[in-house]
Amino acid sequence: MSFSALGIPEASSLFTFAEAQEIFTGIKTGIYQHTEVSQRLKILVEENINYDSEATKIALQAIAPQQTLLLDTTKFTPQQIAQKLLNILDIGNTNVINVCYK
Amino acid sequence: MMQTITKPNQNFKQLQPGIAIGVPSEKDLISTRNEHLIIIVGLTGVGKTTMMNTLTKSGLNFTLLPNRRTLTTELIIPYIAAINGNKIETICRLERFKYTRQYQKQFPSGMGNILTQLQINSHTINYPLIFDFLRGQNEVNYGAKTLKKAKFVLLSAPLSVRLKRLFTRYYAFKKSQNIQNIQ
Repeated sequence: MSFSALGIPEASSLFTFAEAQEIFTGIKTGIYQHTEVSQRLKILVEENINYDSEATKIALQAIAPQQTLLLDTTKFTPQQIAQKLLNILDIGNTNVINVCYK
Repeated sequence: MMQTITKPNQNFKQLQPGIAIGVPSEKDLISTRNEHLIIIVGLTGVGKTTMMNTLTKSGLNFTLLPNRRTLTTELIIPYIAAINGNKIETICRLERFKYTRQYQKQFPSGMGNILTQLQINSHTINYPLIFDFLRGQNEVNYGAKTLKKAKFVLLSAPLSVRLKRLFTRYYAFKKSQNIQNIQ
C-alpha cells in the first residue's frame, strides 16, 4: 500500500515512514475505510498546500507577540487550554469542565 | 470609510443577531476593528472545536462571531460563483478551497479581510467576542495589523494527530447517524 495507491502521492512527503505504516495498517485491518482515509488526507494535503502553519506562527510572533498564545494541543488537556484562554481574558476563575481530545 | 469586503457595493447583510456586514450600515452597529476580539488560529484537526466546546461548557458567556465556514458560505462562495458565472450547488470541502483560493487572489488577506469588516451591536451581544478561525500567514498578518486589540490563540498539532482526530470525528458522526437510524 502507498499514498499513491490512495490517490494522494503528495501525502508521502508529509508523514514519517512509521506514521505512514500506521495509516496503511489501519486500512488493511479495517480500522479505517480506504475512501475515508483518502478523503481526509486530501483535505489535509490541500490545506497544507494553501496554508503554511509555520509561517503563520512566525508572522504572529513577529507582529503581535504579546497578544498571541501558542498552544500545542497534544501537550495540554482541553481544560488546560480553555483555562489558558480564560487567563488571557482575565477571567481565569471560570470553571472549566472535562472534555477530552479524541 | 468602510473598506469593501467583496465588492464596492456589498449590500448590508445581517449575519446573526447583533452582527452584520456591508453598507449602508445600521444604527448602533460598530466595527470589530477596535474590539477586544479573541481570534482562534489553526488548521483542520488542531482541536478548535473541542476547545470551543470546552469554553461553552465552562459557562463563559461569550459571543461566537459567524465562523469561517459560515462567512465562506454566505459571502465568499456567492461572490466567486457570480464572477465565474457558476450556479452554487452543493460544495464539498475540497471544492471550497478553490473558492477561497480564488478569493485570496483578489483579497490576499482572505478571511482576515472579512473579519475586519464585521459590524457588531455592542448593546445586544455578550463579550468576549470569539472568532473561529483564521489560518495562514496573510490572514493573520492582516488581522494582527488591523485589529490592534485582538488576541490570537494559535492551536497546533502534528499532522498525524490531526488525521487521527479527523477519523475519530468522522466515526463518531457515523455512529451517531446509525443510532438515529435505529431510533
